Amino acid sequence: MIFVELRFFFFFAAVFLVYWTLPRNFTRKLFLLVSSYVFYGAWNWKFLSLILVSTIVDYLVGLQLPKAESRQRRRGLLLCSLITNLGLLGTFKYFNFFVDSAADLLSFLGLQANLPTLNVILPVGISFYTFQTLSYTIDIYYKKLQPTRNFLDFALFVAFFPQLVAGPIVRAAEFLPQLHRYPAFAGVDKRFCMLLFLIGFVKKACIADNVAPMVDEFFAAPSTFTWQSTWLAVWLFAVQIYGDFSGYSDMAIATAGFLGFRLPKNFGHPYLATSITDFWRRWHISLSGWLRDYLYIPLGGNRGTKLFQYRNLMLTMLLGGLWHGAGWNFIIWGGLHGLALILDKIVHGMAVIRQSTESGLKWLFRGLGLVITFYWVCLAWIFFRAPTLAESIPIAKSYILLNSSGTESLGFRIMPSLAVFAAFHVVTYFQFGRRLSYRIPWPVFAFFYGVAFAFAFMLAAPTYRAFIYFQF
Amino acid sequence: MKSFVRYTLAFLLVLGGFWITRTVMEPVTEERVVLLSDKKLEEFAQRKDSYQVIFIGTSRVYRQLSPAVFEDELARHGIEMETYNFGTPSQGLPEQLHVLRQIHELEPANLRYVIFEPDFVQMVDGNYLSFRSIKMHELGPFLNQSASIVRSEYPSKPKLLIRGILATAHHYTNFGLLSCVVKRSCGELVYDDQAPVGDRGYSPLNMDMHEYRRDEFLAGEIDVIAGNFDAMNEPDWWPNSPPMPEGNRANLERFIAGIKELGYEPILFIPPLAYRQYYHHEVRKSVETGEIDIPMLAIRGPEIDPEFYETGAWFDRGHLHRENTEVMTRKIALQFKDYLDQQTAE
Repeated sequence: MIFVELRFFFFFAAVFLVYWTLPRNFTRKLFLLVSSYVFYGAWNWKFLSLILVSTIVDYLVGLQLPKAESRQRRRGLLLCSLITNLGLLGTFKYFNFFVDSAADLLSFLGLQANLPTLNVILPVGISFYTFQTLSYTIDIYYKKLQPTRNFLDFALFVAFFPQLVAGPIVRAAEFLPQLHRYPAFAGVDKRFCMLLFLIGFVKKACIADNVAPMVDEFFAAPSTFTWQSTWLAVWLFAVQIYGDFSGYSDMAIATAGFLGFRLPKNFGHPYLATSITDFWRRWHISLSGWLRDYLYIPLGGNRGTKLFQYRNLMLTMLLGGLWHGAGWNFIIWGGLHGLALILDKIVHGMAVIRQSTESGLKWLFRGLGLVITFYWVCLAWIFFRAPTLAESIPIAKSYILLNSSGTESLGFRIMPSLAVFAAFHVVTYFQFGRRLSYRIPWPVFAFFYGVAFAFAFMLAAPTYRAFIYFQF
Repeated sequence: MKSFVRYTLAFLLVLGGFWITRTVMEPVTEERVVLLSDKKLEEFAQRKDSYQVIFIGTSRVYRQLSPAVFEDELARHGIEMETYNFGTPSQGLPEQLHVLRQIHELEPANLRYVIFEPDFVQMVDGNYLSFRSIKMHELGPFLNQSASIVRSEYPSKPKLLIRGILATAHHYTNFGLLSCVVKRSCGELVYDDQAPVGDRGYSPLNMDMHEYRRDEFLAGEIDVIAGNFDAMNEPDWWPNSPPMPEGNRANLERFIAGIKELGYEPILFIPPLAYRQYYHHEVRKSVETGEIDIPMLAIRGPEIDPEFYETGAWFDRGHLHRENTEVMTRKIALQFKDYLDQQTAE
């Protein structure tokens, strides 16, 4: 079940109506938990068991951690949580990748090995809820958080359906306190939630799903296209993945908002970033925050020598790439971002650049930064989108060297899509609609919301696609 | 209480805004959905009093029963009749009855025989095709049809209703304008029900229509393109169609009664099938054992008509090649001639 599917609208209407009529906080939470399991079970109920295992183990570890007196026992408990969660993730997501890579390595060394692989499908959202529960136990381990004694609260924190399958990755410290109060419907910012849901819907159904067929057309036979089409197709994929993922995040935040919950912001107009560092402050913010707090800083962060910092950056981004998918493509994608972050750190460390960015030339530098950042991000997207590493290389060559033997062209038909996206990006950046919406009387707002939604449905692609990030 | 009224009013205003926009914009978008059954009705209406026989059913009728060949075979035996093919892909019995009622409203003076294929509603996720002819995606027809479903004995009544609700909601929401504009500029059609009406409703399948492995076929490297005919390699595959779900027989009888109520004579048509999943064989057996009392024109299996059960005879698992459909149409026409002779004798 996905947010742009009709059955989700029916599901959410039912949840919304029942939820707000339930009299006690306990029954509301119980109802939300059951609804969340139904939501996940609609995809595959068997994999609910993985969520339950993760929930029970981390709940128990969380309870035991403050009681553990010796450091050894605390470490043992944390290890138990890490092994369980990363074990599940490793088994279902990475096992076959590591086995295949090992077999390739052995074959390269001239050794033949028939290694066993698993015939399993990737459980939707496993990377998201695993990171979420891990952050809970790690925070308790570092004494940044008190564990919850309420199993229902913890189970709902893990399985809360608006963000269960594709984030935003929520921290326990942000979410659990929200479960202690009994929210009133009057406290819900309805206009904000309605607008955000509509914006998310437009991004996903009207933009991402409409450009997807053209992206697919190119990536099905990239070598047959001209280098200009390579550029356009890569830009289109940049549009598609942003529309797809940020659209999902917007709808998730809005859906949670309708139920009286606040989820963290996940995107901030990333293609307006003026550097790669800036990009990662705007793209998948909840993941970059997670990687910073639970990987980059524990690795040493900004402490130590420059070289040590660069190593930390690169390792974080390589693992961030691997988090996205079990494949060398994703590792290279992470590596390209790691490399750009290192270069960014070096360049911004130069006194002459620092002075220039603070002088009258700052707009020129920002504009240049925006173009270079977008170019690099798009280059990295090639590895993210192409099915295999072998297929990525020629596309990347065509993109960099402006050269291709292909003659096919995507043509000008993609221009309207790019123009719609660019306009939408700017309009939402300046929040014209939001500011206006609060000024008009509610009956006018309600009526025109209906009008706007009708247009959004008109512009939506005739067939919806699963969200790209579901596979992660 | 005040808040409740306000929220309800706001909700109704949202729906109102949505509905008005949808209605105002409909002329811009309605051309996208051209129902095959509407196109056929339009063509049929031009010479409605000429036809004595119509064929109705799924694509196995649409793609396999040629009016011209059927009439030619009858003419060879001294019978002059005109026929029209109302087959539409995935058109189950509820749709067929709906189309028949539309045909009846045209008051075709000489129409007497309705040769129909007993296909039941196919419940496939995301397949809204079964709702096209009935127009269950439009509010008025949907409500009418829902009422008749509630009164009926369909085995999957709730599922059918939910599909109807979804199809209606789908129609009132997503009509894909941008996508349509984009796709039109690519020269592609949006819906496959914009297929050609063909020769009096008949549109056969040619091998060069296949995209999958078409080049190999045209080069003569392979005999058949699509499909997995494994089932046909098992010795007892033919009699092994699944037992009909509870209620299907009642639906069939209700459908037959519906044709008779309109004043036409129903005749069952059983096409050749390489699929086990369909209930046609069960229906055929029920007619042969006298459980269902209806005249039948049937391809009765590989022992009697082996030429239709070779893998090379098929376009895909559901349809014969054009050449074979013409052979089959002649066989069916001959059976129909025998039936007419028998009627005359009685």
